[in-house]
Amino acid sequence: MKVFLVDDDKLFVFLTKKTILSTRLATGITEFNDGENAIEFIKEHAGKPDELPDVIFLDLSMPIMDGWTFLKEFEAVKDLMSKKIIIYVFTSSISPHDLERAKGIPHVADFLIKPLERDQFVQLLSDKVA
Amino acid sequence: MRYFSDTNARFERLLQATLDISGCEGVFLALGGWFYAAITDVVREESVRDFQKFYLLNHLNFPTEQNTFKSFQSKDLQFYNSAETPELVLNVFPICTDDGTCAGHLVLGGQCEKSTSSTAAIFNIGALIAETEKMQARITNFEKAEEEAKGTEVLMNTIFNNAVDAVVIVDENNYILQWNPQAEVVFGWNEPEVMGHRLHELILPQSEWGAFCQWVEHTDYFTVQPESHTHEFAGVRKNGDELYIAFGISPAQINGKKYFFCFLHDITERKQATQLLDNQKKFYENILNALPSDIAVFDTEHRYLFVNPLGIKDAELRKYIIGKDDFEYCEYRNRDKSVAELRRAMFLQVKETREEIRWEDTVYDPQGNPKTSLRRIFPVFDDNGDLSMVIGFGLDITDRKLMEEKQALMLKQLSVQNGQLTDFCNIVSHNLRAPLVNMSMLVDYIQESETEDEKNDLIMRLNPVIENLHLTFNELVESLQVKQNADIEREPIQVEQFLLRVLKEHDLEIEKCGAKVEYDFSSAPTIQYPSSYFYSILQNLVSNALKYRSPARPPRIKVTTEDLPNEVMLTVGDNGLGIDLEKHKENFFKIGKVFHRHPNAKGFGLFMTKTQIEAMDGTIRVESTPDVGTTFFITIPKKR
Repeated sequence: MKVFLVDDDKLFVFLTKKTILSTRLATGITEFNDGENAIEFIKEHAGKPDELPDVIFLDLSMPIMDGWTFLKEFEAVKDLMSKKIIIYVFTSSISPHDLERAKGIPHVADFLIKPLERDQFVQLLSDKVA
Repeated sequence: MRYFSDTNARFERLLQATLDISGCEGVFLALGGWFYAAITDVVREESVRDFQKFYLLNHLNFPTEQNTFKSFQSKDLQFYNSAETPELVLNVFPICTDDGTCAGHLVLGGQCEKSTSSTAAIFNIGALIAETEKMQARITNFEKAEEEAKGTEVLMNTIFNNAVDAVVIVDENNYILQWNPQAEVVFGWNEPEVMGHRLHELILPQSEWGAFCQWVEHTDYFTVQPESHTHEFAGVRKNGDELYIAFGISPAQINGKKYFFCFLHDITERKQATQLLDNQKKFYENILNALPSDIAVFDTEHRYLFVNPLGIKDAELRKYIIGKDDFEYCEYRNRDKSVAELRRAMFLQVKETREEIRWEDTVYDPQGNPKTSLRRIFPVFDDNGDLSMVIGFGLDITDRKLMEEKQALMLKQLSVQNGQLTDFCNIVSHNLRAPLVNMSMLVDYIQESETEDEKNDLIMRLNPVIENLHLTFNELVESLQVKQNADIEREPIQVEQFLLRVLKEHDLEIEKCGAKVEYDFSSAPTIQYPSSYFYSILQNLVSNALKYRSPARPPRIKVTTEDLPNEVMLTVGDNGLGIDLEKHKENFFKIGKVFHRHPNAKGFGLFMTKTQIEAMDGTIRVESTPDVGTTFFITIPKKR
């Protein structure tokens, strides 16, 4: 299973990567420090399922292109994807406004609040495997 | 042949006696210039006619002057009527009354001259005739007078008894002398009941007596009363019912005694109808006057029919304007006629379109306070659908308007504050929570770490997180203080001095990148502002300009102030990286927004800057082109 972590907080990415790796459920974890890098990669590799992620953990607050803009851009290209990609919003925001907004976007699988325990990752990722 | 007056045999007898005495054949009597009677046996008919002719001629030739009669009396004239009948002699005797006037003539005709002896007797008879004639005249006059009097009385009685009005005759002390049937109908008293009573005591309530007596007293007997000499009194009937009377009075003086003819007309119904109308009018006027709006009603030519006190306060002016238009009013009050022109245009529009117009208008009183009215002007049509009038009214909505403006302001402030609250929420949930999340994760890993190296590495990573948290926390507190500190004092700021301080703080960086800073504050060297805010604003903008410089060229920064009518414009421009505003416009000044992949971008500076500017009612906007540069425009109002 390929996992993308889209988040500008390098420490958080470092620690989360550590946690996900410890689950042994992910075969590869790729980091992107802002939405723009991530969406460009996905667009470029739309036709290559091996390069595309199974799951994206998407932070909302990022420089250059934030999570919301990423979701909007992804919406436009998602039908070109050669693979089903599951997107989780993964944020430190506890704002109900953000939660509502995220729920209004159909291709957001869930709204996750940082941090997640190892067990939670296990559950999320093993569900996908199954 | 006889010419008798049928009515008076007496004359005939006298004439017969004259004939007997005189021994003449004929006798004629003329009274008042006309033949009255004639008795003749012998005189031929034509002779009588000749005589008549002669007499008339003679009478006209001898008017009834004293002299002439004297000559008649002193000399008995003899006439021969013609050559054909020389034998006929006429003796003319004047008939004189006591006062010596000639009432007529007695003429004797015959073939002989009258004997002297009979002359005296004939004069006596003449006197008798005169007496008789006089008596006759008197009787005739008397009869005539009697007849006339009788007619007048009937007429008077008819008028009196059939008068539509109550007619009452009183003496000078108001005691009733006559009381007509209509008076009985009106007041309920019959004639015998009222006799000997004083009129006012009978038919007026006591409260009216004084006024009545005073009025009667001032009624002059000898001058013609003007038509308006009618008074209205409250009256009372026999049964106690109240009524209203129009009271007309004409004084008269008969045989030295004074009377009043009183004409009383029952006007109760009219009065009640008038009162009802008055009450109705008052009722509606009260409503119109009490309504908290100004009302004006116009005829089809835009002339005022009505205006209420809220429309025009002054009662005199309110009265003046009726029947006039706004132009006349403006001229009268010496006002600019542009208002009249405006209203006329509206009136014509209503008349033309047959539809109402609504608008709000605000005028300022001499103190400069606004008065806002919600105005409507609308047409009113009659049953045929023709325009009958146009009504305009204005509702004072000054309070509401002020409230609305306040509310709008509050709403704006609220929405700004709401936006800021959302920002704060973001800070708390993100900028503060994110490091906390990291810290807790780190701590978990530290606890789980298996080697000392791993543990140390993790602890090392903890430090910047805590530092970051600290910094964010301080900045948050600072921006909260700006919000709370709305009453912060302004002070005069020497812009150049502040800029130099900011540059000094950044001198290392400026030197390193070879930045050039230009400035021109000649237009507005001084700005009124809280010094800490101003320093912070300038510091933020300058450090941004340095931070987001283009790697391709040394930074050039230009800072200027410009003195505008109501504000000072501060401009900070650079030739740096620039930004795609199309993409980032909405978020530009928001907290935590970073638009560059730059290690020092925290996204706090512009949010603070905006907060510090808006707290003082200023504005900030930005123009930017990627890879060309960015310029910030800040306005600072001169007065709050």
